[in-house]
Amino acid sequence: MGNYDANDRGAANDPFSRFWLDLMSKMSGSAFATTAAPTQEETMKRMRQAFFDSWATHCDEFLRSDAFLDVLKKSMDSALAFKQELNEFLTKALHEQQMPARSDTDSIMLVLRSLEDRVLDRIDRLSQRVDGLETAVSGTSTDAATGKRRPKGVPQ
Amino acid sequence: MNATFPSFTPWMTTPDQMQEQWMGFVRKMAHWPKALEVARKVRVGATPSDAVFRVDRLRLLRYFTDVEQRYSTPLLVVFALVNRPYILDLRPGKSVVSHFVNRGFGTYNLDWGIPSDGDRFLNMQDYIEGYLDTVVDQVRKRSGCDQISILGYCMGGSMSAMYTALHPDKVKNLILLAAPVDWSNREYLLAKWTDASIFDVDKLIHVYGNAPADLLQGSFQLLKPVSTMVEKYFSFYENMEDEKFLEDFFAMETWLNDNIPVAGEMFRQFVKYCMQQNLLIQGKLRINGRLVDLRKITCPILNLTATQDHLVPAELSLPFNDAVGSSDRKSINFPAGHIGMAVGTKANRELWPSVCDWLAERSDAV
Repeated sequence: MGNYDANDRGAANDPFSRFWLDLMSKMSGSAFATTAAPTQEETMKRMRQAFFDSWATHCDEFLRSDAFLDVLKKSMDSALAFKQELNEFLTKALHEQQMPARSDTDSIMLVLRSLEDRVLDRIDRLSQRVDGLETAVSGTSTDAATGKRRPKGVPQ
Repeated sequence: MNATFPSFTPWMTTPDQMQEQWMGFVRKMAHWPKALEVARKVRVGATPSDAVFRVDRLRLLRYFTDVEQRYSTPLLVVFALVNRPYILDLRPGKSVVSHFVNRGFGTYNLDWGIPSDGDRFLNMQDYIEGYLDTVVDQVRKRSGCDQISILGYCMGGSMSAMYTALHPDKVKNLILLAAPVDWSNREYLLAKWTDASIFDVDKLIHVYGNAPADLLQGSFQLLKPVSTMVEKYFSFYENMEDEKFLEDFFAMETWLNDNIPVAGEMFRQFVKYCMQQNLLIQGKLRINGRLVDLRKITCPILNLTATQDHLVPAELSLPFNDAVGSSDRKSINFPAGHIGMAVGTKANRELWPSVCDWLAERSDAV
């Protein structure tokens, strides 16, 4: 599966030749099937389906190949590098105009989340202490709150 | 004369046949305005529902019907973060939700909403220990039950499994539908593309913030390019005079093109910890500092997989049954595709009634 080489021009291994031979054998096989289709339209449909099946098989083979994975990686890396450059340029342009950029709002979001974590941790510790005190007084335990973010929500 | 042609020269057409094909083409073209009218009027969602709870962008939908409620144990449907959840209630006759509603289950659906740029830092902890836990508590409160049933689809199934492992006391029954839990098989296509050596998810999220909807949709389409980009339109052309087909086709297209981004940090953690490092099935995944131990799941399990699923092959889901601590566990490998499990005619006729039976046996009656 991983031996897809677009530069391989050997008749037996050339991907296109393999695809073409497979395609023609399947299409002609479907056209001259022993269980002959009742109508010409049905025959054409069978041939078309054979074509699609063969095409799909070879697409799948190509999409798994090292050649495609290499192209995928390179194109992703390039696209991300370009987008990063663009982000940096836009940030710089906005800062030059004394305007906030996305990186600034991201920083604020991170500070808020960190603050929220610290408050929740604090509440968690306090809850555990209260729980401990209640247990000591009444001998029963209540569920201590956990330090997870629990959005409150609005019943409709 | 014509009858002998197909078996010898099927590609040779007689003048009569050419004329017939031409007339067929003209008929179809004449039908275009009607097809566009159907596309314009297409409606998604088959079962009436109300949003009974909201938090941030999330909505909890409660389905209602004239059918008397027969089971007190409610069912919560948890869909993936990648697309919209109405695929489970697409159209009359193609609605998973309607099966449960019509059998008398109090049925809820969790709509995660569309994350904005500001939601990029929402992570697994926020979604599972935050949103999902809040919604489960809300469903428990509204139904007056200590435990609920959960049906998780695709990524929503993985998240439901994680949640159940962390809160086994709140879940009475767990149904997973095409839900990946074990990514050790690296031969399937998505695993190859998301391999750490190819796909730098850290950089993607750093640069884009959220996982872009177009990237996700493009990747899913590229998994089966001939089917999604060629065959589908041939099928459309051939059936464009069939109004029922057009309604289903456009409803499906509406859903397929209604893609949403995934919150960046959540996507990064899911890809990295689950798809690349496969921590969930190994019992090494931590959420909020707590280990997600699937052995703690002891409730009845129904694991539904699809034989022709190119997105989540059955081998990604089936190991779940061996990883849990439940003694009551069952799996059904149904002949359908990933989406066909929800909207396929056969699945709606054969699979979902039996899933309702399974759930009814394990739910408390009113």
